Amino acid sequence: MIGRDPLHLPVAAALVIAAGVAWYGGDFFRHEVLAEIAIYAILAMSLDLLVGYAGLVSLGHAAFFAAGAYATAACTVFFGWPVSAATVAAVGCAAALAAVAGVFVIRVSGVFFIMITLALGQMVYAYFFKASEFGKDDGMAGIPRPDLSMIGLDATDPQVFSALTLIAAFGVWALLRTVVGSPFGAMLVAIHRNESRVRALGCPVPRYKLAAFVLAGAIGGFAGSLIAQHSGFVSPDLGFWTVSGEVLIMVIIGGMGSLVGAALGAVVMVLLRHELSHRAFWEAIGLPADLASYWQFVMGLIFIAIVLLAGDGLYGRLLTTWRRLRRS
Amino acid sequence: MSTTTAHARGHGSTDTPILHAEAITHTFGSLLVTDSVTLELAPGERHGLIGPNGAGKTTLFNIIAGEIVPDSGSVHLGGVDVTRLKPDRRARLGLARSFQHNNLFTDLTVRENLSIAGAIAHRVGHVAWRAFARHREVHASAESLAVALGLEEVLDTVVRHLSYGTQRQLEIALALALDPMILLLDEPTAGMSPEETAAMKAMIAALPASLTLLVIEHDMEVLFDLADRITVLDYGKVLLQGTPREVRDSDVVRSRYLGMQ
Repeated sequence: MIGRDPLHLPVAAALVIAAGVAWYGGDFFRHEVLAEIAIYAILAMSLDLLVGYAGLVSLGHAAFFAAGAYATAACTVFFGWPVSAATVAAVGCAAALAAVAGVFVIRVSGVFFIMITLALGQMVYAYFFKASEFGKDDGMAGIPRPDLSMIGLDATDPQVFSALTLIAAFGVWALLRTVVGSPFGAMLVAIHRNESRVRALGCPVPRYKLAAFVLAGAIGGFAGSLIAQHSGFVSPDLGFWTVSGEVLIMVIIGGMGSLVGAALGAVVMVLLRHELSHRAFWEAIGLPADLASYWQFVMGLIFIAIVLLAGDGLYGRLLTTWRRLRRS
Repeated sequence: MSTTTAHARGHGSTDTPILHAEAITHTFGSLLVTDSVTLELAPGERHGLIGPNGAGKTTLFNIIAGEIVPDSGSVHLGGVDVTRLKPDRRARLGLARSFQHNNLFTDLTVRENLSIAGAIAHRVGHVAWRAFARHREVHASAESLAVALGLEEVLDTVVRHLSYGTQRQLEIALALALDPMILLLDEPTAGMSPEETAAMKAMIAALPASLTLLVIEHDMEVLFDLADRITVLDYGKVLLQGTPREVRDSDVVRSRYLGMQ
């Protein structure tokens, strides 16, 4: 359950060091990618709380991503709020959405849970796609980044903003690490393993599921707020089901039930997306540059390979390999 | 059935049953599985429930535990009407149960299984900011329960690697971890070897006298030594209620149940 995972801290430390090395002396492009990785890592870790720990496979997590992004856009652009306040509001909005939706979705489980969360995500997408006050399918532009002039920094500098997102990702990891290591986290794992027994033992299961759903939604909203600040604009696509699917893939290939695994999945997925779609990457490894047009096809092949070779995700594979090495 | 234990537990006189199922009737489709069954257990009583397969024993159990809401009738725990309450509420009111088929956290260790039950029993399951490992009282009580039930050797063994009999013991240990007032045991010796059955019998006999027990058992011999009173179910109806001796000597039970063995 907890404490039987000897690699968690080493891998987390390795990720932090890798992020630091990549950040130090990185160019504009690298800082953009780093910020994107950090934001998707936050989103993936929040989804992993549901999928990997509580056993609630959600295919609608982008709903909270989009809600957080639009809340940030609305608070900054419409009301002129400072970004810090808008971020808090974004987390609150996403949590409220998760609380209202959660009351309904946690009543079902298994494939029905997947379907109902998918529907929830598509409803949010459809709303923003049609809502004229939020710019319909064009979305909204002009979202600022936090004002850090008080400490002499400029968040519009990619280097500063990527550092900010990396610190945020680390903070979310520390927060979720505390949660999964607590009695509450143990209850989520227990519900996942054997819901009927937990109920017979006296645990009000729906309340625990709802709490997990709201927490995951709130953190998803935080990631959404950061993505809005990162790109400066929001569009309904943030809530589209393929975004939910991508985050779910991150969690699965990274390793369900492990926070660093989910973060690792985000690293792999974002890096692959950037590298495989660049002609320069294919030229560098001596293959025809035209393969860049088929990057999604190649990505599919890589995912199939990962799932076949590492059923528990990359992190799970790492864990089993390490255990085998230690035994021999 | 002893009045002294009843008073010791502070549940008033034996006149107030700690568990009272009144006129329970339930159907599955057109099948009448429970037919106006009434059951009253005094505090500290050890009550057996027997009957052939399909007599409705487990259905009655599930109704008492709250897994099934009966078509009609009521269930009271210590005077509180719980007929409409969910299983988890009833568990928090002091009703624990074991399952006929082992219903454990098979991928976790014995210690983790007991700690999960302990977290609920100690009302700390909602704590999300403090490490579980630091809730020493939960882990200490899990350990002492394991020691009391002879599970200390396997505390750190993953449940699915345990023998069937040991898993069966853990099944009861999980229920006991809640420190219940009433314990429902659904065929505790099902599928056990004679040695394991004897050990289980001894374990049940050693449970605190204040604990009220309702035990479904196929093995009549287990119940005859253990129970203060026995209810015989047949086709969802109460055929007979009485002491083990009365049940053993009853002609109708002999022909309907014992004769079939």
